[in-house]
Amino acid sequence: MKSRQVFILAGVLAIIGLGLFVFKAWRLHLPLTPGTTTDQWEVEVHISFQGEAKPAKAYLFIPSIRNRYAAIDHHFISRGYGLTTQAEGSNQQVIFATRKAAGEQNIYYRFGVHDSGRATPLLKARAPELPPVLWTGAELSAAQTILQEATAHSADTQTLVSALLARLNADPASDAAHLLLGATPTLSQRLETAVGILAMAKVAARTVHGIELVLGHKNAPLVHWLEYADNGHWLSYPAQGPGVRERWLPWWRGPTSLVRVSGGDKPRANLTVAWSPHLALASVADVIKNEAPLLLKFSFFSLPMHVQQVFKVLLTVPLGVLLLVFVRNVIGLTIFGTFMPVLIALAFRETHLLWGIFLFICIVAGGLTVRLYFEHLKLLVVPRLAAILIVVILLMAGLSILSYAMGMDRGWSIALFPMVILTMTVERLSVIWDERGPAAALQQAAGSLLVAALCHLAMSNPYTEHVMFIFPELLLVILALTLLLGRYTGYRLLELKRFRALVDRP
Amino acid sequence: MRVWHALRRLRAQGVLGLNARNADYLLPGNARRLYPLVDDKLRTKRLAEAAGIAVPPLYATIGTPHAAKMIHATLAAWPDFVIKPAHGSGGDGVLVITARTKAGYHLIDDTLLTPEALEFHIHNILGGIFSLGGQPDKALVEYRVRPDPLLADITFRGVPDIRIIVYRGTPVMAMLRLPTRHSGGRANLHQGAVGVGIDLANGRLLHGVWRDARVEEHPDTGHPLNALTIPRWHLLLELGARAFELTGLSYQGVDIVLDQDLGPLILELNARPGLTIQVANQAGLKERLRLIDTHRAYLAAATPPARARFAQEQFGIAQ
Repeated sequence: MKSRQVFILAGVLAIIGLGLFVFKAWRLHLPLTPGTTTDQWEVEVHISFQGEAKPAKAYLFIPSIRNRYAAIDHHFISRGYGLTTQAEGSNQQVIFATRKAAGEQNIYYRFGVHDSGRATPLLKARAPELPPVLWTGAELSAAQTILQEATAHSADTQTLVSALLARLNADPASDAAHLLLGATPTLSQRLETAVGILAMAKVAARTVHGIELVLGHKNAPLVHWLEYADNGHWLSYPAQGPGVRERWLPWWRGPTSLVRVSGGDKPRANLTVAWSPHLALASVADVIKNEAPLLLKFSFFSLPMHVQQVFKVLLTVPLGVLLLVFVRNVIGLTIFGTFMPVLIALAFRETHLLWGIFLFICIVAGGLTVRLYFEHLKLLVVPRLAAILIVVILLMAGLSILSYAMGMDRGWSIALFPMVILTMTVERLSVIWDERGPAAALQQAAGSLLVAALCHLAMSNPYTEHVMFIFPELLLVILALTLLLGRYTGYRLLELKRFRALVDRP
Repeated sequence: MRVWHALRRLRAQGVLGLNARNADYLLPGNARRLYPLVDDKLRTKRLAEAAGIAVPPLYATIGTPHAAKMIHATLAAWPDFVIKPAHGSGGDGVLVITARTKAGYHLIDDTLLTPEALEFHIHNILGGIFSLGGQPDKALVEYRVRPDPLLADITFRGVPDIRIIVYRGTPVMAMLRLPTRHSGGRANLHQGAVGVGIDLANGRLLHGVWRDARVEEHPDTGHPLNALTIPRWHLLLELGARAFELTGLSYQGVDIVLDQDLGPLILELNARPGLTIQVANQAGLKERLRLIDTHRAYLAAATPPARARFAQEQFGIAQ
């Protein structure tokens, strides 16, 4: 009777959970695996300028990222500004506009970049326009001189670009180059000059500006290179070093600068590039937003980031608990405390497994030694437990400082061990030590530690974290399994050993 | 493969596992509110005395640290006694004191306990070290049972006891538990005592089990375990059957000791009796429990002696 109720309840829960899971995974195409998080970056542009107490506009190029790179999760933080987007040539531009900008103005633009690592196919150059020739007089003849020299030393478009840039980059500069570029030309000035000269040779070219995606770059410098049209495709030309490098993200093209401000003074743009491990999930949020906006509202993605982080950990706990139930009721291992291994496993998240086990053994062994000594002092129970708790904290503090001083950066994380649990473990261990002998005590301690390690492996791996966070409905399935285990009346694995005298009965 | 083999063998013999015991017998049959009756040995003792069932006489109850200090004066009248936690389980925290001298208290395993050490042990009991869940506890001081000489050959110190599993007031299986050197005078199997199965029909001893393996002789004295028959066996079964009326627990273990002066005494009741008794009897519990379930209408109306007779008739070992 009761069993049937349990079966029905478990069945309903499992169907709801699995149904939602299947729907989200196959209809909404939510990813089942976390993807590699190492090629995600977060880029932030910080624009600041002095307002002059009159209408102001700030123009900012935003990357129209395609192919190899995918931009996700655009955010603008611009209090008091209206925002419009428009196409400008081959670029996308955002215009921030306000009626009155007074004092220091700050605008932030943030986006994530996902690097798929795929090779980028060449962009098609459909009848590219040639810019008009800008130079007159002496400058024009200087440009013509450089072009003639470069043409004489080249066979096709690629070698022409190469020869031309060699002349413009030459140090010391030739007289003609000096005339065109001035005394201290920047790289983008050289490139723009090359674009102008190439136009005279009927070769369409343009400058490309971007950033390099590297770990942690505050004040990330812009990188520049050249694209020229050849046989209907845009080809990149190495503006620096051998070829456009890996992880150069193209942002905008043409002679204009990244940020322009009208109605303001001293515009500055500061770029930050950071490697961001969270974006794998943010991209899932984007998928949900497009596919089922209502779902996003009622998912963890609507919560603030730090709360999301808490739930990411919390949602894996039921998995550890299920494992614990299995170990206790199906395998039949005796362990300390009902959920002690799960709590220890949570602490292992920060300390990492081997180091965590080492610290656990150190603290419990140290605590046990002191506890066995306390036995001689004949202390009353509650003060004794309090004393052990204090000793445990002392041991934790000592180990932290010692390991930190020795340059082991994980040592401090010992502070995350649940000290009350450790105290009770020490006490129970010493009682068992007394009553059943050291062998039984160590056996139980080792069993608990083993289960804690298993729980850790189950709970803290990126796949479980990802799956439980994206598909929290799987908790219903875990609940169903736990209910079923609650009515499991079969033998425990270790009972087979316990009853071996009955098994081997003639 | 060996796992499957073992599973099949155990299932064929109807061996009851822990999960099945809990889910099929303890949870449905033993109401939560009845547990305190057996978990608190003081209440069990009072219940038994009220029903006219013999128990080891209580000398004192110690509930405060002050009373623990006064223990030496309180107990001056008795040279030997047993101290146990009221809420202990599995024999943990039980001290058997056989004599007191100027040096202190002599334990059954010949170690000497100073008066301070005895007080400390009582403090530990009061603090809840031995109680389930660690809640504060009381210490009971009671009569030290002098075991019947009948079992002296197969006992190494301590007091042997007889554990009877009683289901719906009907004895199902019984086992004699014999202290060994390893168990330190205690009769709990997990502490190293020997369990010996008993033929329910007549009290004849069957096989022994020691640390999960079969034995035919006592590991310390070397005497054969199956040479004896427990006298007045039907009286012991009746005593076990009457324990049902005391507590109302549908599935319980009744521990009985044989005192040379006072006769059979109920030592304690257990709401979660262990399952190794099946190894000692070389038989599974499931078939017997099922038989009781099929006759439950008759057994519910029967008196304890009639239920004991039912057990003798149904669960005896065929010669």
